[in-house]
Amino acid sequence: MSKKQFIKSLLFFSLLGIMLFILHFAIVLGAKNSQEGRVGKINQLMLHKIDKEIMIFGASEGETGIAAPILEEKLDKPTFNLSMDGSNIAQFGDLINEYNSYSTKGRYVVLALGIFSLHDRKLPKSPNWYYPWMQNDYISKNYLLNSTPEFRRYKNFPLYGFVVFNASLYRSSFDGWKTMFTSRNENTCYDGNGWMPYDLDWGQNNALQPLTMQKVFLNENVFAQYKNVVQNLNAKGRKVILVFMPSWKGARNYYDGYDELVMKFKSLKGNQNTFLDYSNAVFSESKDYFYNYTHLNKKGALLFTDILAADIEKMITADQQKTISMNNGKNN
Amino acid sequence: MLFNSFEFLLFFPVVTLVFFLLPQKYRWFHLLAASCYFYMAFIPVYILILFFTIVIDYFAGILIENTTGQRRKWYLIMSLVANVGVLAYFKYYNFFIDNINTAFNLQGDSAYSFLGIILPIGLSFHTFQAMSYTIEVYRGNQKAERHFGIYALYVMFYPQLVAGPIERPQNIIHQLKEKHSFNYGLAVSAMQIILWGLVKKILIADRLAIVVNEVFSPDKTYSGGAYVVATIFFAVQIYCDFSGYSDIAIGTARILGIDLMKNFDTPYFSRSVTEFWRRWHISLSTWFRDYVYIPLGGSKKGKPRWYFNLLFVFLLSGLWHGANWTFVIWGGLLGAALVAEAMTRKFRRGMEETLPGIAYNSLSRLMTLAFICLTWVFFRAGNMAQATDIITTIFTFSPDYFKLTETRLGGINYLGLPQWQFAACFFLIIGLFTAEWLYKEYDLKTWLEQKPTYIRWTAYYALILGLLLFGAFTTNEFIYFQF
Repeated sequence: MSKKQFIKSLLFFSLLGIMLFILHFAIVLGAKNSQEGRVGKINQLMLHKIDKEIMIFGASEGETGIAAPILEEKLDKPTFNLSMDGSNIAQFGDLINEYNSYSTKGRYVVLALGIFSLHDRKLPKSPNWYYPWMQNDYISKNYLLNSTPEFRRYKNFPLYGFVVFNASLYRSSFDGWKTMFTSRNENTCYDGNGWMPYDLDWGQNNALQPLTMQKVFLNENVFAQYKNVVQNLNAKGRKVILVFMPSWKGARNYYDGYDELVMKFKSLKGNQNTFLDYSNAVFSESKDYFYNYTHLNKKGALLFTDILAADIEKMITADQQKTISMNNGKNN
Repeated sequence: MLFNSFEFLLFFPVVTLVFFLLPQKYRWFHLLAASCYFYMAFIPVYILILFFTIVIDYFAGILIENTTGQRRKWYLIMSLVANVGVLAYFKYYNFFIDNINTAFNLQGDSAYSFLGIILPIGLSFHTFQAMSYTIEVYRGNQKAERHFGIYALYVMFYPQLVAGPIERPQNIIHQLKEKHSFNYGLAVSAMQIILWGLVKKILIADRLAIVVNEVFSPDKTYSGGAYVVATIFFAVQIYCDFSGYSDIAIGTARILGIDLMKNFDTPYFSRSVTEFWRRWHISLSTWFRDYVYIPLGGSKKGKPRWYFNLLFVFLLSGLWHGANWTFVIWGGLLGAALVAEAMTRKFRRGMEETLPGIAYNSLSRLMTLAFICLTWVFFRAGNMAQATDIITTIFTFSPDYFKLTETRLGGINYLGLPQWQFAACFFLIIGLFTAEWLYKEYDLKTWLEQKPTYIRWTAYYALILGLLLFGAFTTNEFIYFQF
């Protein structure tokens, strides 16, 4: 190879490398500023732009089933739903811990629980939602994310993002750049304050499998993570409202261990927290309010949130009265 | 280790760099070690199978050359039996047992049990390559290789070890012994081919695979229109997947100074099935031509024998591709088409002379493509029942024939893809065939090489960026790995 050829090759690969580094950086920067979709929700939290009095965390049951705007309206307390479809505590637990580290206004954290909440996931859900925040302490050390070679390589090899980034992340990045240039209101993540309802009738999404007996997962390691998160929240003076979400009653008998699961979560209540079990909610017998066995549709979510708001209001009133009588006792 | 994997991205430059840094006398050992490592990245213990056939064929070659008379034939037969035996055992034993159990209605304890083994990767390829060596030595076209390491490298050379091209000893062995210095022009040409191969595999084949896997899933049924789309997508997928692999193999070898044979020549522009098989998987079709078809007499022993030879070769080729009746039927259909073309040769020549050139070429290309696509249904389907169901659905018009969409959580889905990605698949297919047509008819490569550097580099950068931004970086293996 002649000197000229060597220099030419070097120039070719150098230019390519520089271009790819700039593009990679731009994609990540854009993705961090997106306000769309679930990436947008995570971004708002990681940028410390969400600090509401009531925060809702959980998986898809919470994401579709708790209408944050209704809760906000009924309780007159700023509310945001940061539940993430398909995640379990191993992933959204880090979001809770991050939120707990910076929030000054948060007083109540609603933990939406469901039949699969104590399932020990082996693989993370949609790790691309978290890729832009790989530098974050919680995210980079998350054991579930680190169980995938893709995430580990993404952490350690430059430009590996091009292999793992998908269309959804590129879209988020594009949206993020749009946001930066148009200076949208940074706190309008969603009209629904993070609530993502599915306006579907029963079985409409073609995901209904025939019902068969299945054992409910009761993994102790996963339960320990819930315990840890609740303790961390309590340590900062935040009250945890454990909400066992309603599911269609017709499927109840197929879940072996259901009652045990409910009792297990009830044990997290302690003295500081509240446990609300909606297993036997009045509407849980009707398919009109569900789109599958375990998830409320939009109609169900609106109805359920009304009920939840009323129960939370009673809880808040009772707490206030308790505080007043304690203060009166001290004065006397 | 897949060519489109992160591991290969590290493996390839290291192996290449060390190759050129080493003195010539150590290079064979380095390549052999690298090839062993490459192969063992799949299932390590299977290298013993490879080693077994290498030892048999190495000694068989020497014995064939050193012996005269009938014994030469026996040594050849010994080598062929060993190779075919290994292939038959790992690839066809379960198929054979399944058919015995079905034929004699054996069930439960009375049924013969299956072998619980995984097929060694690339078995069909390196077995055929090994057989071509002993046959060529027997025919006197190739001197037996005395250097065991060089012979082993001939079988195991990593660029073409697991999915071809199936090489001939006359082409490869001397190249493995020659000294190759780093050649800038060859390296550039090689990188171009590798890039194009990666584009075909990652950008096109793996993207189309999402739709194909969705529609051909045994749990679901789709409309006739959906099956038509999926069949066309599969035709492009398998072409891009396999030719993409071949391109990467050829490019990887070329950087080392080794020239592998061309394996694809824009086959979907063929005007007949006969022509298609001169342009598709050329290394396999020439292997069957030279070692099965011609020894059977080819077209030289009268028409009935000629037609039989054609059908037999393609039935065998179908079986080579997989241990399933769908592959045999696929091969049979192609063989039947070749026989039909042989029978109607005069008629078709007459049509070619009568019709305007563009009309004849267009019609014949379209008909050939349509037929090939239909045969791909048998190739892709999991079993005969699914294949016939799909073919029946394609040819049965119904009110929802053109239904391609499905409502799922998150929105409307086009056969497993969002709308824009589904539309992009068509643009990718059009882009692919346009590029290939320009490459063939207008020598796109030379045209590009004559352009200023900034234009060439822009084209390369655009392809690389397209690949990185729009490629489907899944862990899809190359389709032909399963053969």
